[in-house]
Amino acid sequence: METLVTLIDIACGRAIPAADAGRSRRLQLVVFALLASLVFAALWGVAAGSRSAGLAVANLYKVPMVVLLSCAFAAPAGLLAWRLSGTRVRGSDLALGFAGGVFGGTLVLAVLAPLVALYYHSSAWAGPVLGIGSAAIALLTGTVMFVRGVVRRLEPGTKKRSVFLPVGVTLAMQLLTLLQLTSLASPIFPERTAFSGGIDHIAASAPSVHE
Amino acid sequence: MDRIPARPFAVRLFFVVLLALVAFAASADAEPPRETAISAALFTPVRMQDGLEWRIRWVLTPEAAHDLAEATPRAVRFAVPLAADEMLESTWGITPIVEHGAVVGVVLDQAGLTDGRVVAASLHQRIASEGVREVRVGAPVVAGSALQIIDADVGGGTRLAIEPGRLLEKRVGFMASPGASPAAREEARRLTGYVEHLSGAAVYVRGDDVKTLGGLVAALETPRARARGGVIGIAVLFAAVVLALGVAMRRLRHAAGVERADAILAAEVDALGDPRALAAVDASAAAAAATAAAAASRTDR
Repeated sequence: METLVTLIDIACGRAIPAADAGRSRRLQLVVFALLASLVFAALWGVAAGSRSAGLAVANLYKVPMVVLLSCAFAAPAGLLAWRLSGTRVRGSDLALGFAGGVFGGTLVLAVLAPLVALYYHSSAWAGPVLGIGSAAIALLTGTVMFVRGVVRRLEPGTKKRSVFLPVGVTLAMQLLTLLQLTSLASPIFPERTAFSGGIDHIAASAPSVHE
Repeated sequence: MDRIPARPFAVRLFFVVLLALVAFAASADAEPPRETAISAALFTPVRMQDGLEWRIRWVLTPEAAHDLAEATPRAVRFAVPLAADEMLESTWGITPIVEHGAVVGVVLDQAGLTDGRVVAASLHQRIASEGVREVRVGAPVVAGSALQIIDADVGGGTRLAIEPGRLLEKRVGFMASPGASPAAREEARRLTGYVEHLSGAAVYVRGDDVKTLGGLVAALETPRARARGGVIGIAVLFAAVVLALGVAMRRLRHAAGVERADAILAAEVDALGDPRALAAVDASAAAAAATAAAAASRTDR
C-alpha cells in the first residue's frame, strides 16, 4: 500500500522521497507501476467486454497485453532518443516518469471501468462512446503525467525542451504500437470500431490515396 | 373435282429452293464473330451462401465498342476456360462460347453494351462451405496484354489471398504482374472506375500471365486467420515480459529494502540534534525496517 501511495505521489509529479531515491528502489517502483497498471487495465478490459462473458474473460489478458507490450516496444526507442539527445535528465527519472504516466493512465481506466460497464449494459449508444472516450482520457492523462513527471525531476539549470525529444519519441512509439496491437488483439469492444482494423482500416476510411 | 398435277409440283419446288436458301443463310451466319481485345477489366467478388458472385466489368477497346454499337458481334476469349463450378449468369448480349464442354469466352453483341465501352456481367462460382483451404480464382480474366484488376476483398475483412507464383509480384498495398507501371495501373483504375485503398486487396494481372500460370489460386483468408500468427507471437511475448517483470520485482525487493534502510539511517544521522526531525525519521525507519525484514524473510524462503 505504501508503494502504491508513493507511486501515486510520483505520478502526480511530487518529489521522490529521500528514502525512495536509490537506484534499486526506483527500478522497483518502475516494475511495480507496470505490474499495477496490468491489473488496472484488466479491470477496464472486463468492463469494456462485460456484455459478453467470453469477451470479458479474453479482455482480462488482452488489454494488459496491449498496454504492457506497447510500453515494452516504446521504451527502447525512448532510451535511444534520451542517449542521442544528450539531455541531462537521469535515465531512471525518464523511466520513472514513463512508468508513472502508464500507471496514472491505467488508473484512470480502472476508475472509469464501473461507468463503462454500467453504460455498456444500459445503453446501445453511450457504452461504446464511453469505452473509447475513457481510453482517450487515459491516454491524455498518461501523456500529461509522463511529461510533467520528467520535467519536474529535471536537474536545476537543465532546459525543459531538452527532454522533449526522448519524451516525444517514446509517446509516438507507444501510440503507433498501441494502434496495431489493438488491431491484433481485436475485438476488445463488442462492436467493430475505427481502430479494430489498425492502420489499414484507418487508411481505407480516409479518401483514396490516388484521388 | 379434277386435280391439276402441275401445281403441287411447283409448290414443292418452291419450298425446296426456299429451304436450301435458308440453310445457306444459316450456314453463313454460323461463322464465329471476330475476336477482340479489351482495354481493361474489373472483377469484384461478393460472398454468397454457396460461393462467390463475381461482378465483371469488361472495358472494350474503342474499335470493338464501335463495332458492337454498329450491331457487329465480337468475341472475347478468356485466359483460361471456366471450371465446371463456375457459371456465367445469362445476360442479354452475352453468349458463352463452349469448346470441348468448357466455356472459353463470350460473344458480345449490341445488347451487352451497358455504358459506353463497358460490358457488365456476373459469374457464379460455387465453393464448398467447409474444409476448403484453396480455391481457384473464378474471375474470367480476358486473354491478352491488357491490365485487369481483381479486387480480392470478399467483404467483412475476408480476402482472397492470391498465390503470387512466378508471374506476380507482391508490392506495397497491391499485387501486380511484373512491369505493370504506375501509369498502366492508373489507366486500368480510370477505365474501370476502381477506387484502390491501401489494403493489399488490389491485384493487377494480364491475361497472358494468367494463361501461363494456368489460372490463379487463392486461399480464403478471414481477418481472424490473418491475425492468428501475430496474436500467438504477441501472447508469448507478453507472457515473457510479465515473467521478466516478476523476476525483476523479486530480485529488486531485497536491494531496495536495504537501500531504503540506508537512506533512512543517513537521514537519522543528519537529523541528530533535531528532536522533531528525529521523530519523523524514526517513524519511517520503523516502516522501512519492517518492509526490509519481510523482504529478507521472503527471499530466504
